[in-house]
Amino acid sequence: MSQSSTPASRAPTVADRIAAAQTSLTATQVALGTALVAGLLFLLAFAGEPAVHESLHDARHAAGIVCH
Amino acid sequence: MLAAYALRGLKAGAVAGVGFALFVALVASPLVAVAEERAGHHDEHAADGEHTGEAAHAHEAISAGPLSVSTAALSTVTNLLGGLGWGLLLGLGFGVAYYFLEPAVPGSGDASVYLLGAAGLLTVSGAPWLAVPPQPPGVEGAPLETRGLRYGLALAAGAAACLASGALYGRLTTAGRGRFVAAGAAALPLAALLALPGLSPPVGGAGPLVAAYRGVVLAGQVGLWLVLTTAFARLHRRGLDRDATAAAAPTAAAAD
Repeated sequence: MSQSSTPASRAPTVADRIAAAQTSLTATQVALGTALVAGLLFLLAFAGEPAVHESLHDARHAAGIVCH
Repeated sequence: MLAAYALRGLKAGAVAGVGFALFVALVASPLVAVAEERAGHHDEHAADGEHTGEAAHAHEAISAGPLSVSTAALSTVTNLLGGLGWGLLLGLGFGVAYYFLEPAVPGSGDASVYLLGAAGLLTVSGAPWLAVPPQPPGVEGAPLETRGLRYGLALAAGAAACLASGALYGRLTTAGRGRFVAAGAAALPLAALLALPGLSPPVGGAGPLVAAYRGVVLAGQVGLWLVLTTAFARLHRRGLDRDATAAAAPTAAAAD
């Protein structure tokens, strides 16, 4: 995991990083990360359910996310 | 390697999230309560009365079997978790963004972490606040959907401006221009963001309470990003040192 796929002779570029990401990640890691981000985004930014919304009301206000 | 960066981001986000959760509970919540109380006294709109209604309900208790918790205590816990979640979300996003953009961010080592952190603060909070300034409860503006859409569009504009700024700086420095010339040119896309307030109608809300509220919200996010980037820079440095040690002694690394 610590091995970079770029040769040491030149500085890595953004394209190298994208290429490395496509080969180095396992399906579990992708699923875990996506689930975590989607869950948090949904809860904190998009959930309109009054109970959910009210329970996170102060946190949303403190973060400056739009709130009624 | 991306996984290592994401994990570092998540750890740094946990550190920053704990701090931000405490900020929510100790600073923001009391201020929101004051604003709600003010709003309740000043306008008596029945339709907008959710906040005043909430205040009246604060003394109720939820009894679930042997557990009986007051809604106020429950709300504190959920808001603490919300603050922690916000930190984790930003931390994970930052770790992944830093993995991809590290080669392109000007500066090296810690400086690039702090620079990308500043870009993150500008993207996630700064640019959206230019379009949709943080409002204390009780100050009515455009409908929630409209404000949400504006927030999202301003966030995208902020991200685009930061990327354009970084790309411009990179191009100019590789073309042999001086660093100050490049930095000056790179400031132009960011300056374009100042047009954002003009695109959305001005929202009502002046006065000392609104000003204090905005100051507190701003201070909270600046503090969150400072802790996040400081923790990330530290974890990143430690991770690089470990990688270097492992590369220098491959036999020792293979042994365990």
